[in-house]
Amino acid sequence: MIEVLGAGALTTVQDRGRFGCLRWGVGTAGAMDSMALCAGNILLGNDRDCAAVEICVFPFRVRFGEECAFALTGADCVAKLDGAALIPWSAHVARAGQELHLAAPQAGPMRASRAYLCVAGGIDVAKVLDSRSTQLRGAFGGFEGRPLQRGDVLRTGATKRAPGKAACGLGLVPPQVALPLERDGCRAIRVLPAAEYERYTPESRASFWSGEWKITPQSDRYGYRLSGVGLQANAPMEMRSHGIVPGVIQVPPDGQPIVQMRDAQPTGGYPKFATVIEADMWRLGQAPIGSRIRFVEATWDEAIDALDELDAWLAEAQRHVSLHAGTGKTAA
Amino acid sequence: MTDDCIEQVRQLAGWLGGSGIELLELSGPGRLIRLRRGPVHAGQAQPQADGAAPSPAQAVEAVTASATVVRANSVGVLLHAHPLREQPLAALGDEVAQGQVMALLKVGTLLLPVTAPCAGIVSRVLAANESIIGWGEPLFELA
Repeated sequence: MIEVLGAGALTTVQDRGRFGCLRWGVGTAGAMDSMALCAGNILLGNDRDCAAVEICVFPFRVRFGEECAFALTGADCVAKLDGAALIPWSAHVARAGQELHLAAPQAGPMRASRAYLCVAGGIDVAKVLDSRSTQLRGAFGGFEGRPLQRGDVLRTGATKRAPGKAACGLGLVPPQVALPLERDGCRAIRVLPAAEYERYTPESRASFWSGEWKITPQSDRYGYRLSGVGLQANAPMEMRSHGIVPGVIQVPPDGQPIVQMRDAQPTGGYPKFATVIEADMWRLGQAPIGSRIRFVEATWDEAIDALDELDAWLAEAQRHVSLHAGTGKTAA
Repeated sequence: MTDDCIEQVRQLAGWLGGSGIELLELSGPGRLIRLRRGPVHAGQAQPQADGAAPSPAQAVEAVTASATVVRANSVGVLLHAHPLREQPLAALGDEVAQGQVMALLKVGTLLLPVTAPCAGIVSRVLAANESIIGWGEPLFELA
């Protein structure tokens, strides 16, 4: 049991997402950085899809009602447990009554924007349409279908291994370190050209790849509004609403693109210029407001290979953690 | 067991003999190997080669008998700072509390903490950042 002592707006319970429901108009939701979510769960011996708390406004404070193994992944938020500094991207054990405090993410070249608090057994909220993710637009799923607030009490699920066992102190190399992706000192995101790509001027297509794009303050779980050299279509486009998925880069008439994120609505009417590959959504999900990104053109095969690379990394992490946990058991 | 396997066990036993490890357990699908080093008999104590230079570990112990040496509890690549941070976890002159993480050992995707066995002040840093560390190798000295 965990009590929220202080949470900024937009702190939500998320698992990997609610898949297969777009046909009913239900968006995907899910962790903006799925790698951080999966890694935290792996550290704790959880299923990778266990729900965690996604935090993007700080400070954040919780009190543990009982002994609890937890892992902090995602942004490095100078976490402290009853005042004692914790190593990021590691598993720890809290005793009953201890308080966890997360401050604003650390500055630096690898600054991230979202932290994940994973707990042994996962955050135990009811599954809706086979997912524990908070669906903010529909106000269901997660914890009462809404962001967390002071006084909320979260239950944790049944654990697979005893807290304090091998979990304590074990950490993972963060994927942004293990699998970096940069162009000219900028966070790089790989994308596939989409349906209306060819209907933009050659200059606009060239500048989309060569320019830097700033993530504006009008960016959240729904979508990222970017600012840069505007994209000009060859001719005005009138389009009917059509299905869209997280990752689609739309271009409204002002030419400044919008990237649909995890809470994207399932339909939209703007032209689709490109699509962020699924394997890079976690990178974009951690890009802070005000930071700059670059787009790198990918092929379908590269997009699939990139997904395989992430799966391989997670499988390797899982193997290493279980080997280590196994050794811990032998020694005990 | 095939001859191949026996040869591998022989090699493992050889490595075990040359290390400070007492028990090695390897498990895989359908098999388990446990190698334990027997007690060293007084008569055949480890050969101390004549004129051989003392190992770094011995040297450290000789110089500072009163200080506590913080040793590696795993093999791995030593990281003085967390990969997301620039500041070392424990630098020369830093005061550390018992149990505080002083460095990390990177093994594949894992980061294993090296913790202070007691409170103290870091009086020597004995291993370089990003160096490959073996079991029990001295990493810090606490005064």
